[in-house]
Amino acid sequence: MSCTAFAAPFPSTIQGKTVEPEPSWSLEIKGGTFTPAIADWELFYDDDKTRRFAASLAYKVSRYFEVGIEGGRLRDHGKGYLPLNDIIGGDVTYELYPLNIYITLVGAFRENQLLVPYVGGGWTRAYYKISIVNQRGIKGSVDGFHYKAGVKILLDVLDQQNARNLRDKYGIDNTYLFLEYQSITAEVGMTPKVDLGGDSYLFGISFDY
Amino acid sequence: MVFGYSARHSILVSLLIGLMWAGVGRAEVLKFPANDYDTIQEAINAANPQGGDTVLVAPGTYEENITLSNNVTLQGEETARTLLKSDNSTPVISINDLTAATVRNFTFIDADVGIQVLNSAGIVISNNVFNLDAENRGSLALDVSDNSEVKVEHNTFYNNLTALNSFSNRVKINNNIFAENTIAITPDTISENAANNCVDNNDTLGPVGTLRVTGDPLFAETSLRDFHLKEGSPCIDAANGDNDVIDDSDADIGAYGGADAEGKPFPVQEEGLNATDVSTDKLTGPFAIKLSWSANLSYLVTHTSKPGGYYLDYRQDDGTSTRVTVTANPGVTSTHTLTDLSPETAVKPTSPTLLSIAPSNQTLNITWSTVDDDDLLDYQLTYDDGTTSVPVPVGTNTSWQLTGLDNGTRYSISVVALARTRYFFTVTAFDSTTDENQSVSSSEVSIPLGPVRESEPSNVMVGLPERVITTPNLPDEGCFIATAAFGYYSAPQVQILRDLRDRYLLTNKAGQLFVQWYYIYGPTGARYINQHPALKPLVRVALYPLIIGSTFIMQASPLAKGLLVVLLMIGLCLYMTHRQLNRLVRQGAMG
Repeated sequence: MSCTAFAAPFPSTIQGKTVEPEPSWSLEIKGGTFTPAIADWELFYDDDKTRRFAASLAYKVSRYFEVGIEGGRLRDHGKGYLPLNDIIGGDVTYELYPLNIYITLVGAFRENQLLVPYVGGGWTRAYYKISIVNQRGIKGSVDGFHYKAGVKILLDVLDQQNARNLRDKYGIDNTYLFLEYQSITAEVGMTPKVDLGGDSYLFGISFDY
Repeated sequence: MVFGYSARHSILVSLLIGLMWAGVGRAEVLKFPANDYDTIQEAINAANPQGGDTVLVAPGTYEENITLSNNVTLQGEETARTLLKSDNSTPVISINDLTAATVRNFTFIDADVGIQVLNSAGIVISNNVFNLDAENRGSLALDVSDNSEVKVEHNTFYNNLTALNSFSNRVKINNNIFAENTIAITPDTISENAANNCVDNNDTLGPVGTLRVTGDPLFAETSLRDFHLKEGSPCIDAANGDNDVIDDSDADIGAYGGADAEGKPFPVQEEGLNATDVSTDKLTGPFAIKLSWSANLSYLVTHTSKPGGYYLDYRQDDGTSTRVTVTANPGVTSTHTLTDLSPETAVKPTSPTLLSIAPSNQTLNITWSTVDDDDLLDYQLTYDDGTTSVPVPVGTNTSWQLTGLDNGTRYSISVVALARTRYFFTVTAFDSTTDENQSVSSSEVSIPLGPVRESEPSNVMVGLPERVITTPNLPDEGCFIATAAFGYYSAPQVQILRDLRDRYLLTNKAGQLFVQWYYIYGPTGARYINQHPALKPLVRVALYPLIIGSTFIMQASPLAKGLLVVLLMIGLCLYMTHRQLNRLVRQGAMG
């Protein structure tokens, strides 16, 4: 692993000639659905799914191996529970900010491979915040883990002219669209335990540079 | 039936003559707005150029660039309230290449050019007000070129940059008022065509003619664009050539004088129209209401020797309207007091129906049905916790949020409607002429009068405010002191205390009060511990009994908890027995 790869993620110029290093970084922006593992979620938040957005930055140790960090957010408005009345009531807003540190194994076996499968996983810190109208809110965080699997489609193969433009103008070597499944487990140490994680189906775009 | 050639010929000729007569001879009035026309221009285009049609425009403000057609009269129904304007530099009205046309009874505002006449003859511009906004717009009121033949009669030009720009020797300028314009008439080559104009305070006068009247025209209220003349105006009865149709005297100079003047007084404005309850006793009467409004200052309404006045129409709710005639006075404000009024005092309004109560933390959100009653004044909510009944005035809302309630307390909620009889008023000005011309009525104002009538209470619903438990019901970062003592939030010892709070304190009233107290003072203690790290081991030691006890409470089985209670009771008994024995031993030794 070259130290300059960390310091200079963009193409460099030596004696007037552009040198194209192997891409060292991968930036992802993605969004999709998140199905919480929390029991009765649909009862209180109207839908068994909510939307999730995330972005990640990974260092490509090699063509087959990445180490990265990912931050995301999901938010939903719903109701609480009133045990004395035994009804659903009160207005609450639930927010979860999962922070993932992960390794990814990438199945890129040759140059310009159209479909690139990958799997990965790692440690998760889930920061949560619940706002309640007319009542003090709740916030905290909990450790957990996650794993993921997906497939990337290399757009450069489909549109070589744009690929060259992106490389020349912005130093982006590869552009992918990808579909990813991700599962997070982050249990809060109560009795019984509550898993703040869930299953995500994410669609996004990634840039190697 | 079979007609011969000559008979058929005669019928055809008769039909043609009939059609020509019908098409040529009848002058029609086309009213605008009307379903057939979206713009004034469409109405003009529909007018018959052979018939001398009139397009009569109803009161309103119209933003349009109009091109007038031959032999058409464009007339406003009410000069002061039929306003024409333009947002561009094109004239509001263009008169090009015509042999006859008339524009009268309009007020021109907010425009760069009011009327432009090019290469025309037989044009009459009469009884209009030009007030084009000299401060912000080009404001050339009337522009005549190409030696057009135009009669400019009985108009009022007020606060324009240029009132009349005439490059024609065939313009007759008579009986107009030119006031507060930067330039009244330009250029100086047409003086022989102007006479009997009233002029005041124009920066450049120009050729307004020798027989002119000078002095303040005393307009009724220029800020409202009411350019009727007040008593004492030098322009009253000062015109020549015709009489006023309004009062049948010598004609006045300006837009409201002469044969084609429009006679409706300026309406009483909503601003300044007030009704006040002046009852001797507002609950028991006698009941009276004092009305006041800004007076119409036109001399035809407030004339000292022969005043006009106002019709005051009032009604109670949907009742029959009663009319009172009030003679005008020359003052700025007119007043009239209605006495011996009889507001409804007995009939109760309909009761509202409580629809829902949604509880949350110390809060109840309440909704109820609307009571459809013209007399409705307010709703009043009442909540009762079994010992105290608290009325809450909530205005005319049909939903309300009661806050600051005690969680866990059952509140009985009801609502009543409050009503007071409402009186409605309009004021209409009329002038002193034999026709008693009337303005349009003012906007309606109303006032409640008499005692407040309360409906029967609504149905009663029970609300039970309580803390909202969220899903998921997660622990909060709340154990400030323990977090400070153990160094980090997720320390297992801190987690145990959080679980204790969530499961055993927040689920009951006493526990909630303790947590509330702790959240106020806990952060201060935590700050102190963080500022004095040497205290942390001591605090940790002090907290361990609590942590151990909490761990036992939350993780021990019911059997273990039962055994502990039994052991504690045995221990207590042994302790008490031991103390008893010791006391007996000491007493025996002393005895």
